[in-house]
Amino acid sequence: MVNGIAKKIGNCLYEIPRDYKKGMRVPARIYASEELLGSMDNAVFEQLTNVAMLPGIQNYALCMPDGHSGYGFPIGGVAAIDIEDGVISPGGIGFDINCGVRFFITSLTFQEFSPKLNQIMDMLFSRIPSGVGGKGIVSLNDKQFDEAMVKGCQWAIEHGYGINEDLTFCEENGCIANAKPEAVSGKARERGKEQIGSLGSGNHYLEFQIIRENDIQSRDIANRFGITGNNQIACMIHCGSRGFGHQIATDYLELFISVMKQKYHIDIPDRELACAPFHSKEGQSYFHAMNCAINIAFLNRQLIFHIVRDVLCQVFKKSPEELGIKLIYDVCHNTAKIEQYDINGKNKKLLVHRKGATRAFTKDMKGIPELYREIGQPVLIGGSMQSASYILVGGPMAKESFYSTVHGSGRVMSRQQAKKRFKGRDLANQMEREGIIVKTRSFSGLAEEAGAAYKDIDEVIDAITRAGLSIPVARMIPIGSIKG
Amino acid sequence: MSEDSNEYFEFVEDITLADIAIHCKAKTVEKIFKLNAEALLHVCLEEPSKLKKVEKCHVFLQHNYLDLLLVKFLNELIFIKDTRGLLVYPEAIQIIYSNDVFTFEADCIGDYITNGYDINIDPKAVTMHKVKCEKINDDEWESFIVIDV
Repeated sequence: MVNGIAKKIGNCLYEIPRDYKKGMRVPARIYASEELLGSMDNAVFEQLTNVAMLPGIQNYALCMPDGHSGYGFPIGGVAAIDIEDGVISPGGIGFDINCGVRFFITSLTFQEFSPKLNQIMDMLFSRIPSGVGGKGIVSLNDKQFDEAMVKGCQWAIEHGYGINEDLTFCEENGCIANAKPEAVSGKARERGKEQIGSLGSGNHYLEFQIIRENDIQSRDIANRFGITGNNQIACMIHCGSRGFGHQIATDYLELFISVMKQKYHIDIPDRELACAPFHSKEGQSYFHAMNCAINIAFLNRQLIFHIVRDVLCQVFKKSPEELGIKLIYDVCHNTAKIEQYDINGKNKKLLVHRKGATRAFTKDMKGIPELYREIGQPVLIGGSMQSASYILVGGPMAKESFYSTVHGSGRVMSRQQAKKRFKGRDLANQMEREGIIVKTRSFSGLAEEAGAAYKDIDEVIDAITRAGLSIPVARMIPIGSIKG
Repeated sequence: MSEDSNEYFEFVEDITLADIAIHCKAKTVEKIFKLNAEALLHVCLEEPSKLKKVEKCHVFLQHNYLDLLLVKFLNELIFIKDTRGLLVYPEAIQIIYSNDVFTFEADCIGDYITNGYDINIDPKAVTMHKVKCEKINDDEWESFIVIDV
């Protein structure tokens, strides 16, 4: 037993039994090494066992090794819920709907890239809005915004912000179905339409990285992705649906609180876990609005990617093909998606809530690009701004976690503690000495994101590898970071 | 912390690692709402005391529950920030309870984010996690909220 609560049941796998708390419908499972489990705050266990009470939850309430306490669900939480008799919960998705990661590689080497890095960072910092109140790359009228909610990345391609091939390498091809703008409030529209194509703040970033030869962990798979490891330059973009998604979550959380107990007689101990039956009027309305936010987040990352590609072409005076720019994948980590699973011999449609957890489909599964069918979907995991990031694929035990894995390092230090311990300007100078150039609109915000505020990413990756959830392909080292 | 030791806000550690928890105590419910708005400004700005009084706006809200009214009020301030680029706080607040409904009205004032302020972090939303706003003694009110950043 660890912390007197969780019992070890497998390699990097712990379980809290169903009788731990009255009302739990399934056990709770935590993927972690003993050290990572020990570093989790107790609120994680309380929140995860509350998640296990949600109507319709199947098998287990899950927490990934990067898990830490959030509100309602822990961050790193996964709950697969039967859509026939279960619920949908905005708290299981998070306010930043479809926060996710886009990752592309180039054929440029560090030696070719580094003399231009400062210039590139300056250009991107001025062209990509970030920070508090940052307005977007595009300004949409009401009709365009409605189209964008339905089309996601497709809208960007139709309006000259990308090429068709970009769509191939996005989860859901950058456009999820069942997005209905009529389910979106006027407030969400007003809040979102001026922010499309912006990084935001907090832990969102755009980061240039190097992939070194000795950081390739699965050579065959890396080759299939086009990753050579020859001090190759890559780039990772981490952001979500901005104020649009935040407002949708806020609107529906309030609505669900008003109907959960009175209308649907659902009793859950935390209001942040407010939910409604998936097939109810309210549940369907949120599902349709959430899908609009998923599409807006895809569009957001596409617009930013387009600007980065344009800047690289401008600086090197070469075409994207000549620079070997290749989008590897765009993957979500705050969503609820309908997926089919065999549960005790019955084929069921489950709404898989992933809050700070990445989908990790394995080889031969539908829903991943044809090019990756034999290797599995790329899983993109950002570390802290001072540590490595990873590209992985789904592992042999991924089905046990509803094909879900980690989304990042996971915090171990609160923002207030980090701000007391680090000074943003000193940190920026230290990072520069470490070979990482930083651009930020907020040095105090930078201090909150110090590497020491996060778990060791290598330990987190080791835990999911040992648990069989994912297979590491390559490790990327940061060299330039634009923070929101 | 606010200046009056009996009426204050504080950021609470170890509630949610990635987000920001705010605890307030005050003599009146109106002051509780005001302190929460001040705390929200501290989340957004490095030096909130430097915020100039440039632009006014009026906020009118209703809710059946006082704690959820507080959430609604702070979410409204975040909405004003995102849609108008304005960071505001309330100067005068009135809260009335009648026919099972709390009615909130406030005159707010502040300035545009783009007017050269040192920015801290962008709040996304006020969560319902452990939210509390209640009278705990005669002349003593307490609130607790978590802001997603």
